[in-house]
Amino acid sequence: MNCHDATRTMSEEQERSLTLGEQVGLNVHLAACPPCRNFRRQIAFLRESMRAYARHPEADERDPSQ
Amino acid sequence: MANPDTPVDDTSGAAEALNDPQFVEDLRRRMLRFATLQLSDPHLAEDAVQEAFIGALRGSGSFAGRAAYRSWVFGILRHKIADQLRARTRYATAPVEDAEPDPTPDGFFEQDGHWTDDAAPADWGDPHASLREAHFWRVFEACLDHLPGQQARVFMMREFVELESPEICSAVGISTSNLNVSLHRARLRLRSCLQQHWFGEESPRP
Repeated sequence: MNCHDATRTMSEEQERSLTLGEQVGLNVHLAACPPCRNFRRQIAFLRESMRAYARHPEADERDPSQ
Repeated sequence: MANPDTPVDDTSGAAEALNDPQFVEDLRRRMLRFATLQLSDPHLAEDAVQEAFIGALRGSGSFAGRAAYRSWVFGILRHKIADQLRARTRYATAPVEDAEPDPTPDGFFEQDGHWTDDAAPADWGDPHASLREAHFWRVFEACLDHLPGQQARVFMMREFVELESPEICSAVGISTSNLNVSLHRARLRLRSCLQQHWFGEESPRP
């Protein structure tokens, strides 16, 4: 598994349960690849951000000086 | 942002917001763009936005200001769009292929599938503090606006309207693998955009 495959697998992980084979392949790759570990945290953060954005779009109107 | 538990002058927020034509027009334009992208039908989108404004009037009296009003009216629109898209899934036929193929993001990976030096995701530390920063949301919106049409559409359906993957496939008429390709590319682009314009910036972030 290379980084492109790993990111695709991590993206699908947000949509469905991975097969055992996919989990093992992904974990082996992640153990050796810090950028892909960052990617995994970051797409989880994207999901959280989108949900925060959906519920509180007012955040963008606050006074930045506060 | 006022604490919802503290007494506020309820009606003045909505009235003040609705009396500012610039505010109303900006909000309407943003809602219309979102609704048109989601529904792919300008007339249905107009109707949905109109209904959201009317729906918001019924709830007036509970706004602590423009921000709360904006949040409220956008929330109503989001629910209307979710309902419309879900209704479509009941009549949908077999998935068809994408009319508009998503462009592959360039420069993210080498030929061998490994990250290019520029694209490799850096450590963002704890990014959650950014969620409280006004400027972060402006960058976030700008990054969303830069996603190509099909990617933006399905990504927003998934993460903002919060439909499940099978619902999106039947509402849009694409296969699961097409959806997964679009979501993968949207995530690659969005995180890249945030790294470039927010997390990679020099100014210290908490």
